[in-house]
Amino acid sequence: MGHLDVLWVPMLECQQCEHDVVAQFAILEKYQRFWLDAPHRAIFGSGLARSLRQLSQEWAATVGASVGLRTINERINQLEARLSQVHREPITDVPAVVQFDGIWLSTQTQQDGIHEDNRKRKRHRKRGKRMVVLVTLGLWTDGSGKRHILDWEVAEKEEQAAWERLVQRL
Amino acid sequence: MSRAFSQAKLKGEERRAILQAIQTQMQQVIIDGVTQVLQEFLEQEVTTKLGRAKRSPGRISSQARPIDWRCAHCACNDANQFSRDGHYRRSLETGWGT
Repeated sequence: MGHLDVLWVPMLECQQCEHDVVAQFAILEKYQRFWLDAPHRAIFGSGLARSLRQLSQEWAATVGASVGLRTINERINQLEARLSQVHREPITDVPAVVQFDGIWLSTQTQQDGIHEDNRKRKRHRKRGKRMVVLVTLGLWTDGSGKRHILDWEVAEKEEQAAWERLVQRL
Repeated sequence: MSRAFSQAKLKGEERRAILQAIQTQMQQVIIDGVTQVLQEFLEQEVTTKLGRAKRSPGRISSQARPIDWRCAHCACNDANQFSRDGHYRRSLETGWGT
């Protein structure tokens, strides 16, 4: 299990008695599960930035925030740009051969419903989903026998449109 | 990414290594970006609760502004009596590696 190492949580002080205020942040308490799933959403999900935008709308309604969404959206846009930049890094060492392959995998997505497991514990319903990671590997013919990942694309199936997106980026 | 693979049809172990390499490549970008977004959420939640932006002066008002956060000592819940007082550091679990 990984974790976000450095999160700076704001603290408040009561001016009447100069003691700490107990602040329970909705974004950490109510939406705790979202952050647990965030890395998975970023790579194999339907888009982390889109999920974050949806989350910000729900969060704004929950806490009654009328301001601040613009700043949050700027941060989300920055993250989206950095995620897409990963796929746009120039290929400096051009391989002689490029190999294309699809790697199928199963992922589990959490559903809205709750059910009881065998030990009577309440659990979110989960649904398995098959998806494919389309990968392009560079092969060098210098005798080293090495391959490097040039780029990749997550898709629901190995269809022409998905492969084209990947090939066009290359 | 500079992970080396043998020259053959992708097999089980190699496929896992590729997926692992992709995840590793994305990890730092996601962690940095998500931390910044989450940090902004926290700051904005304080702004919303207090009804004033960071570094803006507190309100002197006879009208209380009750919120669902309370002083741990006197149980006061009037946002006009609360002020920002720095940050504490914590970590947050994510689903990496699961």
